[in-house]
Amino acid sequence: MDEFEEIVKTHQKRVYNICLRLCGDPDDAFDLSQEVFLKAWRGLEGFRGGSSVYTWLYRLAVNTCADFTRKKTRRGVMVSLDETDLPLPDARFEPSLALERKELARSLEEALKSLSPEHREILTLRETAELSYGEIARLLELEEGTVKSRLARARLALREMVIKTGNYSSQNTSNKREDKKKGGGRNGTL
Amino acid sequence: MEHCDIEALSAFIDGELPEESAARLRAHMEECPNCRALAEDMAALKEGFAALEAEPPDTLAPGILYKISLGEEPPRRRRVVRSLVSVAACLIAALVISRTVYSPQLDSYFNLSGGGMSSEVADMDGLMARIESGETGTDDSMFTAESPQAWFDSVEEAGNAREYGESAAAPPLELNEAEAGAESGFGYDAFLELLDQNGFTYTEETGDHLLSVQGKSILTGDESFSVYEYDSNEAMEYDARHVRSNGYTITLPGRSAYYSWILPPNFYKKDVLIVLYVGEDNEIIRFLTDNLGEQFTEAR
Repeated sequence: MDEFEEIVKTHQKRVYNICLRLCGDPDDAFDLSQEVFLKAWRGLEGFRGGSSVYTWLYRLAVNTCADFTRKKTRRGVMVSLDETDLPLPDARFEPSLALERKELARSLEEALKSLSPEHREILTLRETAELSYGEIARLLELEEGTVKSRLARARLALREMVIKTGNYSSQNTSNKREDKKKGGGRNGTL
Repeated sequence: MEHCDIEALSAFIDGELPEESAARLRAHMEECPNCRALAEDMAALKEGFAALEAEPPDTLAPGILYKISLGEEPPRRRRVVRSLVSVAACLIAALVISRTVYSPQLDSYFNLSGGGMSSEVADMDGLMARIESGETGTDDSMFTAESPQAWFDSVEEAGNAREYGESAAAPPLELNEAEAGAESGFGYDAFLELLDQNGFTYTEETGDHLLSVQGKSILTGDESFSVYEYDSNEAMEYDARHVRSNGYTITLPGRSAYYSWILPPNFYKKDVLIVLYVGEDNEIIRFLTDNLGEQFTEAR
């Protein structure tokens, strides 16, 4: 019990934040975090190595949140007919997220909720759980190349969503980007 | 040179790019304003995640340990059912949306055992295997059980004239012009009021874009609606005309998409509101039909 108490205290913040990012609601995240640790407690006997405690817990968290989401909403799949591959956006003439940090903070949380479950999941494992590509690959049982690809796509989707949901001024921020890198080839074509 | 390689940029931001490749990318970014700007944005998003980190409630760890000491199961989730008044107050400026889509693949994805940890991990193994087996190199492709793109291409030309010109656009437009003329003022608040009057308990959630406005997802029991409120009846009708009569394809400029519903999509409209219900619950369908009129798609 003492050992498990230490596990709870050490990992509760990260597990809570993973649940919060994946389900989007603090009350749900609280309940789901409890559920994760109680599942861990019940499965503790079965856990003897093979992976680190935290990746085991994070896997339980991802699993528990996915189950919760399935019950709560009938999410599904949209296949875009506008673009089957994500093209490289021309960021030179789009708002700079780096220069609009205040707006970014407001937009990011909402934008995350709009991502596909797979993109939200992999971004959470990288940015909130701070797992390496190798750890994510093992946890999700993907090739590392797939992790790399999916993360890139998730970031593009998130960036697009943040720009859509945020109150950015393309023209102004584009100018700021120009100002910031004046003489740095901003007017060049790809 | 790592020219405009978005995966390399993303890995670079994560510090997961080998040093040799990272050096080449840095050199490339000196010359490429687009890659530099994208890298800046990705770094900003990464920092944004750090800013979102929240402290767990003080009661989390003690609560877990207390329950373990009692051998209790976790409590059921708290659900907040908002009153109409509070909802109305919140909705003065709110135009939010939810997309309610359902697919067999995703159902399998989330179809996890409610049993103990061991079976859950085993299910997780199975689910990842299923995802991997369907993956062909892109994220979207893993869910493509059929070929919506090919299907869409095949019907696009013929479908445009037929659906916009005849079956899809004209009848609903006539219906709604009549409704608009009645100045019913039926919007999101009125819809919530109807739910209250009919004894529904519900929660609201924000969602993502399915149509051109954001909307709300309303959850009631195991069912949910997606509700889209527009500034005008004309704006609502514009979107309604771009929902194909089968309910599976939306052809709005910039967001054309095929939706892989597993249950029939039921689209309703009234005044400035479009309501989407994906499901087959007769009580809900009767409620929607009685209050919003017949659905304007023909999926059922």
